[in-house]
Amino acid sequence: MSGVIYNEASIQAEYADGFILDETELNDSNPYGEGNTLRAILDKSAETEHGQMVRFTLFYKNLRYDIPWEDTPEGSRPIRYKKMEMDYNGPLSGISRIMKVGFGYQYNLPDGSNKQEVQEL
Amino acid sequence: MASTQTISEGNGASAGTETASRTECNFKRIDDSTTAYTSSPINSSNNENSMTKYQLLKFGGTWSSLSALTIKIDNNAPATGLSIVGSVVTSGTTPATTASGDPAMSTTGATANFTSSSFGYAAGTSTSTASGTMYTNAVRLQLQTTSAYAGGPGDIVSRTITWSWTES
Repeated sequence: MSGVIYNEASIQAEYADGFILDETELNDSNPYGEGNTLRAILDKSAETEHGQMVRFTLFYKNLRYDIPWEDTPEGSRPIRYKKMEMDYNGPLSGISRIMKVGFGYQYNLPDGSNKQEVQEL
Repeated sequence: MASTQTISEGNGASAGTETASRTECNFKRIDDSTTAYTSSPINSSNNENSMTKYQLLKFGGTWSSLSALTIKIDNNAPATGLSIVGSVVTSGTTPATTASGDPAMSTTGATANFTSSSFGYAAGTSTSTASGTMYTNAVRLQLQTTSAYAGGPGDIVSRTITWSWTES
């Protein structure tokens, strides 16, 4: 990670051929359409050209969290959410801040129910 | 980029005229976004109320989804004789100084929805996956005073309003 400053709570996806979608590098845009970089990952937009996702990564509080995607159940979908707050009329007025970050994945069980494996940081 | 947030205020008939990028929520006796509150003070000796104030959150930037939106105030009874009332609303009425009928503004978090890419009032939905621009329900606030307020002329203690949401 030396020499690279990742946006707080940003994510990165690596694909089978080594191609990487990086939220910081993309300024959280979706190079394939509307929304943000996570939307591109959720839509599997890069997989046609670059193969399946092999790693899903979160950068948060100077730490890196990796999920090797081959270790997740078949059909798993990435999860990254941010719980945000913004004060108005106070000392931090108008500045949004991250209160919690959720990182992990979800998948469907054989009975169709949803299972989430999420760590809230 | 993630999402960005600004505050818009609704004034005039049906609180339908938008002033974007507001940086304060000062209570006063006139319905506009320009007059300084010091030029339109509220007289507690006369048991006066402020004009009701409609403000809402406007999202820009990029996101995959927005959800779990709430709004609260840190203290809705800042002093004897002072009450800050408020509620999340789905329609706008012309601001007035008559009592709004709203309860004490929530200090724990009142639920609000995401409405539209245009300024206005609507029921909205609890989750938005649309990108670009998204407005929320408005919060209608009012400062109500009585002659029991012992503070002299001048500012009351500032209170903090907090918007909370989840984005992915």
